[in-house]
Amino acid sequence: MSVLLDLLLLSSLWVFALLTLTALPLFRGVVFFILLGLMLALVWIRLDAPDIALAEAAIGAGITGVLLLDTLGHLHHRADQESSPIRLKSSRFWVALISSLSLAGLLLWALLDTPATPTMLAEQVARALPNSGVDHPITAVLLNFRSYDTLLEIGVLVVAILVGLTLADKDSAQLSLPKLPNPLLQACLALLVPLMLMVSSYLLWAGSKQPGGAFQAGAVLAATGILLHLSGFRLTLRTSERLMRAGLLLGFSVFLLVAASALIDGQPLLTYPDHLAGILILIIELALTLSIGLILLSLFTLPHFALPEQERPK
Amino acid sequence: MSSSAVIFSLAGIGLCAIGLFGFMLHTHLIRKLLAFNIMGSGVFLLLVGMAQRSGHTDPVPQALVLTGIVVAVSATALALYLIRRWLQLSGSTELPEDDRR
Amino acid sequence: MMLNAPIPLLMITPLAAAVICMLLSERSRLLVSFAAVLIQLLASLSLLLLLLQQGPITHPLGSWEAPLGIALRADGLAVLFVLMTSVVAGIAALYAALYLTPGPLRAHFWPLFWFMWAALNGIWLAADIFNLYVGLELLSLAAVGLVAFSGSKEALVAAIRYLLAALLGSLAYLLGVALLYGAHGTLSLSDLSQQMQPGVASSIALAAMAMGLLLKSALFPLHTWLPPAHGGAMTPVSALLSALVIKASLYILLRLWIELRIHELAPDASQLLGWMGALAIAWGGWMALRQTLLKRVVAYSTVAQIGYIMLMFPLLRADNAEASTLALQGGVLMVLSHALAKAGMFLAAGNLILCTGRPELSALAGTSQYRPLSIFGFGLAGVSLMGLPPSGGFSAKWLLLQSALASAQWWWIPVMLLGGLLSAAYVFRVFHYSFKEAENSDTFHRPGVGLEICALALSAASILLGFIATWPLHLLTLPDILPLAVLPEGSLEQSLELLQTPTYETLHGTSEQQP
Repeated sequence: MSVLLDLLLLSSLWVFALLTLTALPLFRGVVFFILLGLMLALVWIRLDAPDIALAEAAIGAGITGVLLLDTLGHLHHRADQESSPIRLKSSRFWVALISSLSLAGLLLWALLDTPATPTMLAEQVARALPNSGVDHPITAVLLNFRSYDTLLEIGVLVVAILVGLTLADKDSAQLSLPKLPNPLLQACLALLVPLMLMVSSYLLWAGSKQPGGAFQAGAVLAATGILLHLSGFRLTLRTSERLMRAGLLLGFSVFLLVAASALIDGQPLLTYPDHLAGILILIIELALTLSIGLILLSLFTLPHFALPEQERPK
Repeated sequence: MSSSAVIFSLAGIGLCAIGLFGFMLHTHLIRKLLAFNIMGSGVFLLLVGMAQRSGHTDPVPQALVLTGIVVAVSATALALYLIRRWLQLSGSTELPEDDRR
Repeated sequence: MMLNAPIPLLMITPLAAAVICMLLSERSRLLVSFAAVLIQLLASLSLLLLLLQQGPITHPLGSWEAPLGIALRADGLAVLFVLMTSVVAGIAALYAALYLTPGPLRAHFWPLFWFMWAALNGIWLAADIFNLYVGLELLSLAAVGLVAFSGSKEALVAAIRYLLAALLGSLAYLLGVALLYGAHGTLSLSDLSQQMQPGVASSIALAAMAMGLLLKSALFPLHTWLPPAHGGAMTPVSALLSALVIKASLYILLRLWIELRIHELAPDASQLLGWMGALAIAWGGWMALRQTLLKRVVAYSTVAQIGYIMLMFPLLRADNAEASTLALQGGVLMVLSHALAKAGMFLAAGNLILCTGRPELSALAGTSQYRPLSIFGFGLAGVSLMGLPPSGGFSAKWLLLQSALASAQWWWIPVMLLGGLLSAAYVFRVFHYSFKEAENSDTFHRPGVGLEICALALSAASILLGFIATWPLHLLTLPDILPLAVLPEGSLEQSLELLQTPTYETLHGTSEQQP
């Protein structure tokens, strides 16, 4: 039974992926992409990976989808004119087809040829978990055993926002979207926003024991911000630039400070003192949640200030 | 042996192939970006699926995928900034002479 | 206290500098950056001293031993690359401070620059294949940002092309990581080198990783993104990209090749890399000859020089320790001398463009008469790229040549000679333009003395490298990273003893005989 469900999921993944790439107009392709993300969230649950399911739904489908849809809003009509790319006569089509089929063949070969063995790393994680300061193995890997990866990954996120800032500075034209004076919308927001903030805090708090954590919580925070933004509340980098920048960098800075503080004791980088590991991880996660929320929100709102007014449709 | 893990490893392989196909086929930059994201999801599925075929959950690849998802959204956002800026300057969503190899 | 811990310092300083630069005003960004460059230089020197005293150092991050945790490791090869980065990026930073006019553009340069430097150090010191992926992504995105940040149409096209290539390359690499983890259950490079069994999954994984890395290194025919990106970026950025950024993926490739013994297991793959390198030499050189823009000439020269570096791979032979050692030495020396010479050449080209105010080669007419210093900096770097004695480029090519002879792969020799001729042709072509008579008298701008000195310092360093080639090569033996275990015990020591000194004797002995 469960095999059938899995096979159904597999085929829907492939179909949605193909539709994402071929559906015309592009808007429908993006919608299929978001559906693909939601399907993937289900797949991750089937793979016993609820943390990834949450992140996939919130970040993979949610934030990425919003970013893509927002960009589509900026496409000129003529730029949106896209002919069907599948032309059987074009050499590009055949090169792409042959490359992708050979990739699939090679990967299949590799998969079938490799025996399934339990990984010794999972055991090591389980053994070291009591000393990690948290009870949830994935949080332990992300913020303790492999915290260095996470530190650099936040760096990647900061670089993305940095490039956004760089390009946004090119025009100083500020955009004023009309506020939506819709009473129903405001009533909904009054209900939704506190709820979303609660969900975000819960995800953060839960992260030390069960699925959840800074990334998922940050994504929900960002979604709240995007909702507010779309309904006319402007919480952006331009409002109070220094403060906003400090907020964006708070998580990275706190992480970096904790990382470096180990050097004072002569310990290797990123070592937490035994009894403080739990509390330090919590502090880092709090700061990261706030910053990830702000960064993801800014990824969305920044370009709204980069485009001169006449470039915006309507 | 976990059949889910095997099935979704296969799904991952399919997504990698579909993604690569789209990435090489399309000249429209946003389609290319979609293809990149599909390929990325395929790699993530393969990473977790392959490691969990013995039926045990492995937190390490799961954590790696979480890192990978954040990296992918950063790359996507950065690409969208560049594409929008290019669109604004040139009015096109394709690169010039993209067919020339 | 802090200098006792150079490895963490090499990571913390650039990351902290990036954050601080984002928070401060433009003037303070400059001051912070200078301080951080100084710390980086001191830290890399103290790392060198530590290495010489204690041998290779492993730094278990978070005090968790690999494979559970991530280790950083500094062996001779890593320290060489750290030092190269400190020298080249330090001088490029000075150049950038003088080159970029005050304003938002300059303000945005510094945080991206520091993230780039952090990623480079992270990659040199990494010993974990997934961590290398994160490092590569950080490096690529920062580099793309640096290409794009002038915001012009050309810069955007170049940046988008670069980003697409870099993203595809990273994914291919990550695909390999997924397969390797699925097959071996570890991410630590040293674990992998011990446990690696030849098998289908491993071979396909390594092929995917190699493809991704080659795309990021712009090896022919995957090079098409490079010339617009390197040629179109702002001068200090061009220098950083060509000298350092592409070396990161080459470095990872070399690490994989040696530590996972690909050179033993798949000699055919090594030959393939060599042939791609040979084509890169020919194509890059030919295209450099046909460019009309000065910086494009320099960018295509990078395509050709990557080809030279690739020649090291087929010469790393499991059955021939002498040839392997010579090849590794030659290849690494090639990387170092190219880093110095190419950074110097890009900065000199930038100065020439400042002189004439136009990016075309034809605008150079008269520069050698009125701005000999700028042309001299360009020519000095050209000497090393051409491989004329006594430059670093010469020593590198000489070692590769000897290696080709020692392993009886004579066919690489004409490739190297042809490449040298092509390099000479495109460097002299630039000279030819600069020696043309200008119609009127001195109408050129005068780039600041500081800019000239930066370019000259790097070019001169690439020449100097030829005289002191022994000591960077000595670092490569800390430890000897080529696993020569296939040889019988006795012959190993013997050949190593024979190798340590005589190589350089022959090198310098012969170089003196040349006219």
